[in-house]
Amino acid sequence: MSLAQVPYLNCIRATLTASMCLQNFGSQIVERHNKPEVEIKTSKELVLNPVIIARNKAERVLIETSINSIRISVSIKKSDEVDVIIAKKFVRFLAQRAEHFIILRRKAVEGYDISFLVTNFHTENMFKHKLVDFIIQFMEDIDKEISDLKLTLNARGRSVATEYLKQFA
Amino acid sequence: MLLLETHNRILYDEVVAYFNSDRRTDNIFADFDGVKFHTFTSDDKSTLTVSISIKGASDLLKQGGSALLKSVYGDLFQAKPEGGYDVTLIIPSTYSGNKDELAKKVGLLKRNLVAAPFLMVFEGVESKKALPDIITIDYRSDESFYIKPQGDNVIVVFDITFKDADDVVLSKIFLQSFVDARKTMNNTPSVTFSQKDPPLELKGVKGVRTGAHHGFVSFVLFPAHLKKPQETADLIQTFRDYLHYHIKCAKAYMHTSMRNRVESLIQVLNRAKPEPVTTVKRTITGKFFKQQ
Amino acid sequence: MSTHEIEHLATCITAHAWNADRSRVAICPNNNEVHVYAKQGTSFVCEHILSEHDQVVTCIDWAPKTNRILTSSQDRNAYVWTFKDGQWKPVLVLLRINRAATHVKWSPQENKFAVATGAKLVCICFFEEEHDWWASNHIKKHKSTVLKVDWHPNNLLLATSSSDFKVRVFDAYIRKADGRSVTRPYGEVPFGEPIFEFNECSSWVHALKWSPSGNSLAYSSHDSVFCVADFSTNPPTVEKIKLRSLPLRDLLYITENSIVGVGYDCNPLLITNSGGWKFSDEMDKASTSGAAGAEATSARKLFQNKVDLGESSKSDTKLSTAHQNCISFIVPFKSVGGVVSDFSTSGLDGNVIIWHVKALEAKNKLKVL
Repeated sequence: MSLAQVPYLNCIRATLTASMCLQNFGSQIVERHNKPEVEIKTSKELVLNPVIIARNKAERVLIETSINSIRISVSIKKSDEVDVIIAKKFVRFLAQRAEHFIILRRKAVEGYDISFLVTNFHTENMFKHKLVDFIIQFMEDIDKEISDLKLTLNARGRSVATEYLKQFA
Repeated sequence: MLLLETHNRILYDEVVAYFNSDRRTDNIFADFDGVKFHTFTSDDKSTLTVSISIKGASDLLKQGGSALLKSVYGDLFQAKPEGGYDVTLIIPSTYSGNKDELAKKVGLLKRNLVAAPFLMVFEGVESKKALPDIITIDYRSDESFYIKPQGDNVIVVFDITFKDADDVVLSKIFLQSFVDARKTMNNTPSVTFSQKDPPLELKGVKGVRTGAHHGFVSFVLFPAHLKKPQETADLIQTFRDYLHYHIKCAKAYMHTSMRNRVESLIQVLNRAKPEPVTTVKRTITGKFFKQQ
Repeated sequence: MSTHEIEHLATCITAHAWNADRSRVAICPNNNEVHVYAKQGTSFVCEHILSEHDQVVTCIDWAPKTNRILTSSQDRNAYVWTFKDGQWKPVLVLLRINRAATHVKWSPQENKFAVATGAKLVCICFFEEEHDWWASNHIKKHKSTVLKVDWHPNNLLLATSSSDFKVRVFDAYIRKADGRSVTRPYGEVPFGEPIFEFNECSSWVHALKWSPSGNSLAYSSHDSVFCVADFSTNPPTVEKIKLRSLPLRDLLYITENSIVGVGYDCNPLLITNSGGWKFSDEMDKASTSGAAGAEATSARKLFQNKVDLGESSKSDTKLSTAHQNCISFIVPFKSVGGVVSDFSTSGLDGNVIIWHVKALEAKNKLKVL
């Protein structure tokens, strides 16, 4: 984790800890239903004001909270085309494993790369602080992964080119 | 092994196997650039027929291909190829020369065919013979390369297309490193690349395709390179495959790396799950076991 | 003497309630069932499973005098369970609602009870002898789901908290249940009309409780605002403080001037009144935690953890508090004349914990007023 990232992640961690206070809540609109209020948004008093934590234009997190669910959408930094590709691949990779990632939302919220949907059922069955850890770790990892992959890609390009051109000499 | 081999291993094995066993074979197999090979033994196993089908064969054969193949394969080279193929060699079981040498030679069939125009031009420039302005070889259905003699130098331009938008980006990185790597090395051909628009060398050439998915790579080969015509031709003709091979490798690496990253993230998420309450169950035989 | 005793009864508990002599506890393991555990020696054994609801049970209340269990569920129903011939027999309550029932509470005299619902109303239920069923009257006036209800000790006033950010106090006088001979504290208020409405909170009001004397009403909301309304004046005066902790889910007066709040911090908080309400201290200090003890791990477990978690033990998973997840319920365990000497909490981590106030005071230098 780069040092510059620390305050950003700390801020997200604090916000998540505060907003991941969920409870079981049966729908007051539809009989015998129990749906994440942040998704259906039928009762405006049950949805809190969304929070955006942004480090810069590209790197930002949107946290939408409701009484029984919270939606976290992450936009990953993308400084060039390669970042875009790697981020896209990574997100697709995760989406294919959404079953294992339980809290992953199949479709990202518009304008963001990836979204998580945590409901009261998740906080009941899992440790909240560990869920927060996971999301922070996720954000750290994806940044690391992108820069790592970019480095290796450039290194490979260099050695491929050198090896090829060496043959001419 | 970073560089690709120029010969076809299956083809080599086929020929060796033909001489060493009396099995009958009839195989069709593929190589880079959409090349298709067909090898089969005659009914009485007295001959092995080797045919190759390749895009742009007529151009290749015209631009020195026929002459080169004739000189390399001699009598084996058939004037009339097998139906559906472009070049056919027939190897008799009674072949008297070094059989391993022959197998190697046959294995290089595609390389020889594609190298022919290069060799012709290289030789022509060396000996200051009159050459066509530019030679166009459409060696794949949507890709071509161009050979253009220019004074003492020879310019080879590849028109490479990428079906995937991601590949375009990756290729840019690779091609840029070709350009950069050149700066630190001596005696290398000069490399330039451009996206979308063809380089000036191709100005006025008919049938040049352009578009976002087209990349143009130009090599300027200097006299020093033309002194080693075969090596240079080998390298140049494998360039496209080499590039694609390494783009795929890079993607495969990314894939593996992401897989590992995802696994580790799943582990992190698993930490959020509480340990299941361990229950003691009794098996049918009356033993106890503790569920973990 | 230890400060608390932990009983791990399920993976997740949504509600719990004790019987009169505290020998039995009814819990809901976060599904449609209610489990009744009986204390045998030092451990609790599951005695009965009450499964009449078909969606998650939201609340349980056990009437001490009449020994009846009251349960509510998201399946829109409430049942009154009576113990007969060694079995718990359910009687359906005619709630006439079509949304989830969220909270239930017996009135102090146990002649009626209140059910908070997602239908934005509260049902006051009473027994109709002639039909042999529990009928209900509706208190509307709420603009969102009613989250909690609590009875004033006088058996007449009912306070409700709702996700429309408001707390209301109603007169829940029912002639059929209460008879004619009661004096109503605020006179002939029409049924279903709020007597007071409090809007100090700017989020969902999760918790509210009357003090043992009924002189004050405490409530707390999702924005961590904690209020106490003093009813000795008319209209009541409200004192509002902001807590630094995560929101509270439930409150309990352990004395007239001390309140324990539980919630998302997994730690019971002590709030006291000495010339003004103030957050006093956390009651579960890290060093007192007995839960985070080292576990003997088998070799198999060790490697299993390496595969599943990428680390060899789950040690850092544990919070330093006794409860490992949000505490959703607090009830008195032992109390004499409104002074609670022991109380029990249950949480989403599946623990029911009995806390001893005296021991907590001694160990953590707390001061209960």
